[in-house]
Amino acid sequence: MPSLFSQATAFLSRRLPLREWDGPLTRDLVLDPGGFGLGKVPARLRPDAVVTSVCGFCSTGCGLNIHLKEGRAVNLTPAADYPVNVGMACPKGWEALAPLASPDRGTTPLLRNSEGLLRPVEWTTAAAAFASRFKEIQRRHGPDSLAWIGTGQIYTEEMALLGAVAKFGMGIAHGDGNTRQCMATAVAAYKESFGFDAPPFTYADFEEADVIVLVGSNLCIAHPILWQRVLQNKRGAEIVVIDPRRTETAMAATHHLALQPKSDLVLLYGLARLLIEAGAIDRAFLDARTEGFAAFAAFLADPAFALPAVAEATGLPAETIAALAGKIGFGSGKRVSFWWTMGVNQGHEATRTAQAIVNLALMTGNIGKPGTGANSITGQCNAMGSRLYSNTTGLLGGRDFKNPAHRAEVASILNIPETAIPDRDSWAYDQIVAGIEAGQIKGLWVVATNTAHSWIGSGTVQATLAKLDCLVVQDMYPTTETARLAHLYLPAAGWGEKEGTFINSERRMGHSKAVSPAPGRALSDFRIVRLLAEAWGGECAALFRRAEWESPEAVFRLMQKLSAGRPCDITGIGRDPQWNGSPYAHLDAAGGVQWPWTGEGEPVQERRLFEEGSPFFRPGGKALFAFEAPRPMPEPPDAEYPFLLLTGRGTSAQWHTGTRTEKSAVLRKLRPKAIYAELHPDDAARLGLGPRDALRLVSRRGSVVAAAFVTAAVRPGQVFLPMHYAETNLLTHPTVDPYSRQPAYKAAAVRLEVVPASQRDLLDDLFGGLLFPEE
Amino acid sequence: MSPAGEAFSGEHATTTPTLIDRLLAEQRDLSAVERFSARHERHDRNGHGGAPAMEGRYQALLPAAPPSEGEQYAFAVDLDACSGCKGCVSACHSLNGLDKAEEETWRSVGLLHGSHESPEAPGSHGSFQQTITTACHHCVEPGCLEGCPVLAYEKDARTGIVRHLDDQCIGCQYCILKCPYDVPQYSPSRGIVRKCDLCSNRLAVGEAPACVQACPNGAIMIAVVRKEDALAAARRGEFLPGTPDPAITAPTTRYLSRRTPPADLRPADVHRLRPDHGHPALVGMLVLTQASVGLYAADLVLRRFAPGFAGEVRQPILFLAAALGLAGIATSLLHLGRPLGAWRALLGLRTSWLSREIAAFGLFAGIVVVRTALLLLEPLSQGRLPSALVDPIFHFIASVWGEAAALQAIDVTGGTVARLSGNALLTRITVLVGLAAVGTSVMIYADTRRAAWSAWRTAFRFYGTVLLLGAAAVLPVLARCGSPNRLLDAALVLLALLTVAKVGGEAILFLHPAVAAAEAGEIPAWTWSPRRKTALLLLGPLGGLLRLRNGAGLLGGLLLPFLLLMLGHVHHRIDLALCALVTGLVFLGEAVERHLFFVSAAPPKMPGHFEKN
Repeated sequence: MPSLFSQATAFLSRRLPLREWDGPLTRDLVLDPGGFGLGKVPARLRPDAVVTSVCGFCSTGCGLNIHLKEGRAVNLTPAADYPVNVGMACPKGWEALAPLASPDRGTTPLLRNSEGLLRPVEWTTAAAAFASRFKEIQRRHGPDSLAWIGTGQIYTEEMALLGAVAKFGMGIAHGDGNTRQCMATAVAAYKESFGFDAPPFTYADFEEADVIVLVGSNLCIAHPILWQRVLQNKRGAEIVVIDPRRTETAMAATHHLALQPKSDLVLLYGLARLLIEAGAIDRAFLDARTEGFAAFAAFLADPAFALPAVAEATGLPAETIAALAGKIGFGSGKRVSFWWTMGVNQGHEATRTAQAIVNLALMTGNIGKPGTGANSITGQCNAMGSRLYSNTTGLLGGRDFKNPAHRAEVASILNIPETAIPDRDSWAYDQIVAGIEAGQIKGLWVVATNTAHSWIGSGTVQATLAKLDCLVVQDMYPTTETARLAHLYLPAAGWGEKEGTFINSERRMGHSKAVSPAPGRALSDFRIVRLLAEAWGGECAALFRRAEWESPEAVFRLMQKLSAGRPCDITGIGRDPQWNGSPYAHLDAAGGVQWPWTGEGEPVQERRLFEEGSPFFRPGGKALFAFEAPRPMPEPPDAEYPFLLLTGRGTSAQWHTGTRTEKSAVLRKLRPKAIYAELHPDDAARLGLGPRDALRLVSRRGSVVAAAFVTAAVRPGQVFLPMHYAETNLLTHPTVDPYSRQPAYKAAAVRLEVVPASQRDLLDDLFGGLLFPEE
Repeated sequence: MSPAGEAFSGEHATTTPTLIDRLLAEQRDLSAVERFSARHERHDRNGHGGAPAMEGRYQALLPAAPPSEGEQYAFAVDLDACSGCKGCVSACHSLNGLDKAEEETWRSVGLLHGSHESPEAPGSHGSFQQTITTACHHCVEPGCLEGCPVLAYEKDARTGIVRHLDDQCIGCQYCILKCPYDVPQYSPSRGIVRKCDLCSNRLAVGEAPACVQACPNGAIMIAVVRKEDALAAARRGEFLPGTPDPAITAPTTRYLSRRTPPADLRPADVHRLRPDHGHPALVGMLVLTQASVGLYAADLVLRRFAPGFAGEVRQPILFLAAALGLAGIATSLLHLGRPLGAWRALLGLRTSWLSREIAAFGLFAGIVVVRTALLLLEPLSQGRLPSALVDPIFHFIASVWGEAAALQAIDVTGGTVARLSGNALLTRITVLVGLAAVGTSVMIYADTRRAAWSAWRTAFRFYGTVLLLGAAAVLPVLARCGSPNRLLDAALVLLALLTVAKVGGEAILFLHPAVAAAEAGEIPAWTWSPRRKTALLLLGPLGGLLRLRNGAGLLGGLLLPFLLLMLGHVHHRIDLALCALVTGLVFLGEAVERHLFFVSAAPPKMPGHFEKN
């Protein structure tokens, strides 16, 4: 029968179009060889040209091959020959073009009218309004009355221009960036310990290590491509994760130390003491390359750092701690690398914690050699650029505003009067927010960040922003929580619509191109700042009309001059005659160049700092042991608020406040739509949480209702919220590390309440009250 | 919140028209990339362009040789290497050019989690998490392929890849119901489904599928598996914890791990109660065709129990039955994404219950048309038949079945048509074919192997609707045609009994046991069987609709009939109005019941990520 049937079908198929093997719908998905080493690509998106751009989300700094058709981006694939990501990308990278096409892009400046409504205006009007309004505030309230909040999301050249225009041209006293929320701790720690903000590693150190210690880092989700580098390790490395939660990375590691939140500093000091006790320290290195070790050793004699006390404080078994000390100790010949991210940076004693990691690397001589280092993995794509060139915390080129010699150098390079350079640091983010609250700051310029969502204790920051006389928001979207509060909104072109460079975590400067037209009259941040400088008039307009500020590449050359002789010297980039004087051509062809690069020809692709005895950047060339007694967390759980709230990354498909990732249909499918809280099953049982119930989290600052994800990934007594949902920061505790002034997002006391799913009576459900009407 | 501070006046003199014009022009100019794209062109010309640059990286993830006899390609996933970055999902989307506007993705990543003291990580406080990447499993016995009425699926004889023929598809979406893994994706703008084809075009030239190329951890591989082994493993129930029964389709994907999962391992979205698609056209088709069959049956019942009155109401009942039946069949076309291809729908007869249903209802429609034609011819055959109409019919019958038959059917005296039309045999045939056709409807859903749609549960619903709507639809006809009160009363009582049986039966079948078991703590809180989910859906998110269904059903099928019986036929107009209301309410109740049938189905799927209910 079947054969008869198939014969009949086959017969009919020849006579009638019974089965369509081809047609317009089939051709819609046809693949063709794409050329350019891409393999097969969708035929209708086949490129006629390809360029490489560095991704604009996180600090990993992946190279992406942008597929161009008639000069415009139609698709992208991770660049196979880029040294960072070797052909891989996380979902955000794959979707990097999607946020550009969002229908809610800003296409024209918006100015709030007398009825309080944001209305479209011409750029000339917007620029003039910016200048007149800010100048008026400055005239009436003095130099401390203006501030800007920048970002780690724009190009280094844009940051340099913004910082220079704002401080040297407009005389805005205070500038900081959202990098304060992610990297300030690493900056403070490195500056004090090494004498310069100098992450010493290169990504190859993941591959070259025997022991990889990840502290407060969910690498698998936060930096998936760096986890790829971990998996490239051919030495059979042991991977130790120190994190209160059983994160994806903890699952993938060989050892997970689920310590009590905020007990990391005690653990690190305890490990240092165990190393000293065991004699597992690199004496020769300590003597030749460091100072302050004796004082550190004396400090560690405190019984608080004895193993039993450390076990008690961290909640870890003593033998687990001792075993870790055994793994990292000097003398075994093993290469140990230490890596940290936000779990360390966002703490109340974050700088000392980061330095405690640095101290372990110094004690064991694990620095300046392959597979070693005390390594900060940065957050944003250009946090590192911001650290060197944003002219906020530090003067251009990693300099100090308070240092007259530094001011003189910059004044001479930029050919500006020394008096134009402030001789004091500007306020940090939290101080700017406090300044607004206190009525000192009246005008704020926010560039490519979303303060109203991301600032710690955001419930109050929205009210604080509302106190401003003038809030200017420069962003791709007029729809962010912050842009909606603006008096003046300036539409910015995004990554992919403009040219410039980022600096990634391993100090690699990489180049990104303009491959897509900006919507409407949106302009790159670089061009917006130039326009505003011109509108400001006077000396400011004259200074920034000069050719050396005219284009991103011109500003890159200025940055090179500013770096000369500094630890971050990049004067060698593009110097070789083959580049025809174009540093960008060199960066593009080389697959990025790590700072420092002063030489001729081709730099070695993977370079680390402090190799072969090259000195640290402190006077005397020695690294410093910095330490301090641990302090209790500012808001520990108590009887009224018995749970500890942890925050962190949710999925790799989400980026910070979701300003861009929420614009991609694919990325939206990859993340939970609504806020959820992770809660331990024992706590869920204790609270009587039913399977359809939700949780209300109440802190001293606000309350949030979240879906309950009952999972043993968090320990009893703790509850975890992802940071990407606007509600999370209604709860966080607004405290900062005293040295880095970075907010401590990771610990706040909360109370949990069950929000029951409506408990309807079964019969009522069935019969709608018809059979048994209520009496 | 409205920001404080003064508004801008918007009148400012300092304008810089030349600069802004220049900046806007610069912003529009994208030609600067050309000098950088030249580098890639040189690369291409130097002979590197032909070979994919990632080749060296993914070669090890592909099988050394293509499948031989009895083997096929399959995905193999190293679970220990998957860290949940979800890059595979985006890569598949971008490298295959899937639809952005429709959020089309062919791969997804979910999470299984549980708690135990993990042996490899003491002190891990008992947590176990495993991300699961999944796409089409290219099953040995693909449900999609078996269910497709138009043969729009093929399982490649050489590679075993289950491929969808996009231009063949008519958008009936039955494959979506048939696939236990929620693989085929419907594209509303195209009116078809699309799915993963294991990048067969790439594999054919030695390139790795998009997801394989893109996994930073090399967790996705292509393996060659023996179909027999895959079948045997599926029959033993071996696949992946927390996923649908592999015995249904014998999926070939291999999930590999050295870890020991805990006993309470479950998907992170196991608790999620998400109403499924309501398929309104199918609701209309099922309810209308079942009412039609019920009405034809009512004709038979009346002949049997009220022979005296049956003749009076026969015509309106049969006309109404035909109208409902044909309307139902027409409604089904609205369900198709590409109804113009519906003519291909019999191609799948050999395996597809949907093809069989279409055939059965096609036959039913034919009989209904003939039945109705005879009914229409009846008055004409009483000697008032114009020869222009009769002659062609006569000649047609004569040419096919012979002159004798034609003479019998078209009796010049005019009696035969009426006799034929009045013959209960015709109605019996109609009812039998109708009931069989409803049976194929039942099998369509039973064949999906969904718990809520098991054969007997679905049969209870569908045949219950046949009886209930037959009884309800006949009422206004009886009232209209001046039926004896006893007959109307009998029909009302029958309707009330059927209503109690159906509404009560639904409550017992679909709600009571699953909920009771969970509430009583007899099953652990994390055990979310499909039946329990159906029950919780009906009680939770669908509670309002369930109340509407029960309210309309009980008001129309029970309370109003009681009222009518109590009133004792005050006036025939009141009877008629109330009977019409009864019919309307019972129809509404059944339509909502059928909507609930679809939306509360709790379809099986692969594990998803945590999501709020």
